[in-house]
Parts: sequence; C-alpha cells; structure tokens
Amino acid sequence: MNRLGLPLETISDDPVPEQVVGYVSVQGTQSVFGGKVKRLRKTVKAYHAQKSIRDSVRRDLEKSGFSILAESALGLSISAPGGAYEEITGGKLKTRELFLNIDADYSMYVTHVDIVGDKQSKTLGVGKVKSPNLKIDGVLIERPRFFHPVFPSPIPPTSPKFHLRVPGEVAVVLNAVAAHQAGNRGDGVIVAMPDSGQFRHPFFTANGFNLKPTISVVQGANPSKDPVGHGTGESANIFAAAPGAVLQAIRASNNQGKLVGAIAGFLLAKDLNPKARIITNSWGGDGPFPPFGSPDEFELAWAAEILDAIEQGILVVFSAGNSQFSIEPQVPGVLAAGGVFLDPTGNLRASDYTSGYASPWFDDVNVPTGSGLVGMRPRAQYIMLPVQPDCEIDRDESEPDPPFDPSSDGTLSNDGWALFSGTSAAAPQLAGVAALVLGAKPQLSPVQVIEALTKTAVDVTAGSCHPRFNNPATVGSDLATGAGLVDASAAVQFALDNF
Amino acid sequence: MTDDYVELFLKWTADGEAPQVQTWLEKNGLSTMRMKHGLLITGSLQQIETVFGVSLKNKQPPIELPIPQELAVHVAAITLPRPRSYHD
Repeated sequence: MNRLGLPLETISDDPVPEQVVGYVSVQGTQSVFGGKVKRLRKTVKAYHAQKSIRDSVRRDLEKSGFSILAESALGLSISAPGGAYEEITGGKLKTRELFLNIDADYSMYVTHVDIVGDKQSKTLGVGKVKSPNLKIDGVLIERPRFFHPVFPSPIPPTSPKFHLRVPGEVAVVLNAVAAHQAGNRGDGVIVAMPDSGQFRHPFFTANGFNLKPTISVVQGANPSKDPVGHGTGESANIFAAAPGAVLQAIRASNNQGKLVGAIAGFLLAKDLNPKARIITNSWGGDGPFPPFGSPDEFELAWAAEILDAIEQGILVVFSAGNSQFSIEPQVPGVLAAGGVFLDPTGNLRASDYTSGYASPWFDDVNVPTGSGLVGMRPRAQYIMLPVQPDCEIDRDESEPDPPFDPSSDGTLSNDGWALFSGTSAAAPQLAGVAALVLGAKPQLSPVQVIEALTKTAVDVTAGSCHPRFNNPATVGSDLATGAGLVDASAAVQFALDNF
Repeated sequence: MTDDYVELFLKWTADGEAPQVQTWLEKNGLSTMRMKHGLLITGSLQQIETVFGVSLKNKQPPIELPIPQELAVHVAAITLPRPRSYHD
C-alpha cells in the first residue's frame, strides 16, 4: 500500500497495445539474465554479442514479424504485435497497473505489459525464449518512462525590491487572516478564471490549494502549460484571500500565449457544471477615452453576456485596467477591481498604474468598484508570483526596462517566479475575498457580496489613479480606488451580521 | 490551429436567431457558441478567410466581414472585434 492507502499494483482491464515495443538481449559470453548475483560487471564487454550472432537473431526476429528499431553490441530494440512475443517466448502477454509517481506530488496507475507463463521470469516485463536455437538470453518489454521536467521551488525567492509575497503577506494586508482563523476560508467555492493557462507550479501543491483540471478553449493548446505565466501567477492571489476556494482555470490563449479566446473562455466559465459562483477576469480591451460615442453592437452584445452571468447569480469580477478603457468593468453589476499600494512604511495610496473613471456609457457606474493590492508605475513589480519557468513574464520581469526602470525584479529568467501585479492581481484578490464571503453565507446574491466588500473597505485618501484619467483618492468613495482597499475579515463579518 | 484562432461576433436581423445559420457555419468547419444576443463564431484564421472570402492579415479590428449570400436573410452583421489583452 502507498501513503494514500491504494494498492501498489492492481489487475488491468486495458488490452495489450497493438504494437509492443521491447528489447532482446543477444547472447554474449556473459549474461545479466538467470544468474544468482544481480549485479553488473565493471565492464559490459563480456555481454557483447558477436556481429554474426546478432545478424542471425535479427533475421530470425524479422521472420517472426518483428521490426528492428535499433541495434547495439548488446541487443536489438524491437516492435511487434503481442502475438509475436508470445510466439518466441511461449508465454502470454498480460497488462498490469502499477501505482507510480509521475511528477512532483502527482501519482497515478500506469499500465505495464508483462510476459507470464510457467517458464517465464517473475520480473515485470521480462521473458525467456522457448527455443535454445534462438540466441537470445532475455526478452524485455519496455516499461513506461516519464519526462522529468524541472520544477521550480514552491518557496518564493527574495528580491531587493520592496514587494509582497503570496499567500501570507497578501492575506495579511487584505486582513484575511482573522477570517481564516475563524474558519472562513472560502471552502468549496468555485472560482472560474479564463486567462493564459495554469502551469502546475509546486507553489499550489505545497500550499494544498484546490485546482480543477484546466479547460482549454483553443484546440491544440496544452491545458497544463502557460507560455505567458499570467494566469498561473495571478491565480495565486485568489488563494491568498481564500485558501479553501476551488479554482477552475480556463486557458483562453493560443500556443504563443496570445489571449485569442477570451470571450469563448468567459462563455465556458458561465456554463460550468457544477456552476462557478465567481468568474474573475484579469483582462479586457482598450479604446479611446473619452469614447467617440456609444458602445458598438459587439460591445453591447458582449456586455449583455456579462450581465446574463450576473443575473444567473454569478459574481463577475473584471480588472479595471492598467490605463485601459474598456466596457467589461463598466457593465452594471460587475465588481471592477482597482488598485491600492501599501508602501514600505505602511501607508496606503491609490496605485498610479490603474484605471479610474466615471462610466460615460452606463449611468451611476464608476470604475473601479473597490480595490486590491497593486504596485506603482512604471512596472507595478509588487507581488512575487509563481509562473511557468522561462515563460514570457519570467523572462521580461527579470530584465531592466530602460529608460523607465533600470532595475529588474531581482529573480532569474527561468526560476518560475516573477514580481508583477496590475489590476490583474486585484481582480483575483477581490474574487478571493468574495469567495470568503460566499463560503460564510452561500445564499448571497452578487449585489449583496459587492455590498459586503464595499461597505467594509478601508478608505484610501492619498494618491491618484493612472495619469490618463488622473482622478485623486479622496475621503469616501472616489474614482481612484472606488470604495478603497477591501478588508476580507470585515466583509465576512458584515455578511454574517447583515444578511 | 492555435496560432491563428479567431473569435467573430454575429448579430441577428430583427427576426432573431435561425438554427440554419449555425448549421451552415458548422458545415463549413467553424464552431459556434450561442450568446444572449448573437452568436460567437470561432475558427482558424484560414477557415474564416475562406468561408467569408476576405483577407484579415494586417488589418486593424474591429472589422465588418461580408455576409455570405446563404446567411444574408438572417444575419445583420459579422464583426471581428477589438482584441483583448492581459492587465498585468
């Protein structure tokens, strides 16, 4: 039994594959098979077979229906239907399931093929030939092998730049720790996130976070890869606030990481079974501000789709934008995520990296609704987030960006960690806080969840949003940070006390 | 397929949605998803260019695509919308 209490081996229902790849050891002066001492000699020259014998074995195998894939001084790599193996060994081919560690912290049953029979070896996948005229001292069936990808550390590296780490420091600043300690962790609340993909970073496993298998929108795009690193990194913000939430990542990017399937990704997120309670979106479009007129028909149809999700009871979070102007965060009922920066002295101010404006398209809508933690211009390198090693963000953030920023994020270009944020970080933070609220009070509507977050947010009165909009943070709700920085524990308490 | 995946928005005429439009698009190798007000069409750039008889390379969205004769009665517009990008 392994540590999960599962048997190490079980019977298999899988058929023997149509083609079985194996290996035959051609007789030399010595053999690794059959001896009592299971040890390799210091030199393998004694196992070498004479060329004439190898040629003879090759001909015999080809006559029996084998293809010769490769040859060495010791033996031949072969392929044939299972019947050909049974013919030369007199045994039977049978499948068995072995429980193996496939990747870091990931185990599963893997089908193996064995040669069984009275005169066959007890060793998995090893057989003997039935005819002594065939100069083969052992038949082996290849055992499944696995790639050994290099996994990054689950622990964030240090950086000389002032920054916050997930999950702990972001949880502290969002005041989520008290809620966690009271047992409110957003347990089981499904948060869907259409984005660039979700790399299986050890950070998530080491922290025990719950991720469903990623769904890919674009045919042929690997759901377990994230060539940009954006979705993987930003999703860590959800768990900083709500460690018990369940993430359903939806890869909406193509093989280059371009966000080509965002709308299809959102439609899939709406249609999940079981339903997502929250859809968090760290992306959007851009257009002139102020706009030339009303939104076009596409924008309106897209806005109707977002509104429909809200009417179904799904809380929809969109990032306000990092200077962009876009319809998504303006849709009435959307929780639009802006940014607040906590500086090294502990003071809060509006992030000058984020968008903030009164909607010119919808009455009584201001963007943002409330804020999460976001860095400052020029690059908002603020939160140390896990990414796929050597992905676009891992490389870009580890380089200086002259003339705007002569320094890098202090990490390596391939270490699987990078400093970044943007309203892309704020949206999943707010989604995480909303998951805490819904974990405590599952029957709440999106409107009620937003009320809990905004009524309890910490008012931010310093700084301004991005210069494109240049709105200052003031006492009370404003166009720089909305209601201010969300307070997770206060939001949960508000929901418990008032709904 | 992944390098040139494209999303298009289809707007119905006042008569509302018509299942035969979806059937026609899917017969031509495109995928569709129903929206509250319209239809999302997806496919490769090459498929889209072939089906709609246009070249989209080096053009700046939003772009109105010509409506195929077979769909003209039911479809008011087909648009390649502005791209979406990450907010990092």
